[in-house]
Amino acid sequence: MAKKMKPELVALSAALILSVYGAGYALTTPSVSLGTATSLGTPIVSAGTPAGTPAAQQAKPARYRDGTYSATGSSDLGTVTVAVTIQGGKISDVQITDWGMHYAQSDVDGLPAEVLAAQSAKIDWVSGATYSSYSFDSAVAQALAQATTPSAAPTAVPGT
Amino acid sequence: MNLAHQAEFPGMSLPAGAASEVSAPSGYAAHPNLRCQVAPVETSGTLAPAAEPLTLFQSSAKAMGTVVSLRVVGAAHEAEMRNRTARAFGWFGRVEASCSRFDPLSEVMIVCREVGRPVAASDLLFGLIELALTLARRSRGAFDPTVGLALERAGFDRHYRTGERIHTPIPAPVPGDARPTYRDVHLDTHLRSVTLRRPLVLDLSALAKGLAIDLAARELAGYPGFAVEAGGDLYLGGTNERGAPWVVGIRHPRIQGALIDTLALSDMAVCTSGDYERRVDAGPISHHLLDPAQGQSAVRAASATVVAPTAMLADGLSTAAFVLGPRRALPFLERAGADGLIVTPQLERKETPGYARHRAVAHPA
Repeated sequence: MAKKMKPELVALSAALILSVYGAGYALTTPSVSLGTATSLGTPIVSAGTPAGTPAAQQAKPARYRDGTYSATGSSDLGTVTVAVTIQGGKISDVQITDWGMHYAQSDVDGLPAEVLAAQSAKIDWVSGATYSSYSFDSAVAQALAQATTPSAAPTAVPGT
Repeated sequence: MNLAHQAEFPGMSLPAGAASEVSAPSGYAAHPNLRCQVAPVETSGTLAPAAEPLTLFQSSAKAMGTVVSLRVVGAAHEAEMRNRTARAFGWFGRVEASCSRFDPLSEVMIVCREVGRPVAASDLLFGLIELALTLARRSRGAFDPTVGLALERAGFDRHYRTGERIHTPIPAPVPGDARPTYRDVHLDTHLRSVTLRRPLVLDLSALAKGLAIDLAARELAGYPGFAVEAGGDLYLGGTNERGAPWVVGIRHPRIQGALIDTLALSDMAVCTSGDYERRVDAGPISHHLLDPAQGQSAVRAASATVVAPTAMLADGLSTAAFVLGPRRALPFLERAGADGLIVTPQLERKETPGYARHRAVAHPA
């Protein structure tokens, strides 16, 4: 019989929530290198001081033109349409305006009838992603490409 | 929703500025690059009375590459409610700033740039990696946080906020080389440091989203009912506005809009991992749930739903269960103190013995 692991995993996750919540929003990364590290024989690098980070790696905000741009991303399971709003040259909002999934007919054949019966109950929430994040990501990328292309017209301009 | 909506709620502590950057307290000042965006996209913030005396407050925001939704039942003061929900959303930005592999300046990516040397980590990051490694050992590697580079190279590489593709400057493993595994990550619990023994990228996304849900839920604890949802992963506290346990449908893995089961949950988390994200021309990595042993998308399940006391655990366990497939996942979940439902690619349903108690009782029509 395998070792019972309930205490370990449940307790680990509960303790982590408590400690992080207790510390608040502030980053708790040590701001100085741990001085006692010499016994390891290797220097300790504090994650809080990214001194070696080349400035080039910092994401350079693209110059987006204000407006709302719509684009659709798709996978073999379906499509997601997003509307990306740019204001003051920055992304101010991303909306999913439409999503749909489609399936091979062979996937759907022989489906148990009780599945459809479950629809009638009053449902507060649904567990399970309702759209593909890959499609979502590529739709956002396409919308942003429009926002940097001088010839592309926004589908809407805020405040108009 | 649009920005006009934000303006209606000046009480929300999220700035109404275009980028809606959460200006977090002190700690952020020293790390100007570790900012986060949590833009409210929808707020139906009038405390409209439900059929019963219980009020229902709802709010949504964009975070962690998905849409986050909160509901609070029974709140009496709208201003306090807005403050609470703003703080709850703020946790998503906080966790993301530490754990996103899509941000080269996140704490985890700073750790990933140092190979062979210990790097001090925040309690948040250290704790998440500790839980990830424990899950990895318990699942014999079915859950493995070191698949980040494989995911990135397979095209799961776009930052949802900038749309830019990331490229972590690590040489791809030479074919024939063993892939990195969780055994290549060493934690020093005394110094709270992380040492990578090989170049790798940690993907903590499943656990991080769960942790943010749990922290947001904690922010709302104390109300008669509250729920936090991010991309189909949920924590349900107390009751819904009808005074009953929250009713949660489980998405059918093959039919849009259909449910494969319905649960009634209170003070519980539920997460579902599914192979819904299949892509065209993707080869052996067609969706994001990798079987770490194969380096390819896992194929033993169509979806795996886990009910557990925390969203973090439910999220990690559902990922592991999806990879393991029903035969090994069900005893694994039981040992972990969780319940689950696995739907096989043939659409058979397999569940743990304790799962049935979470099922909503069918109401006679």
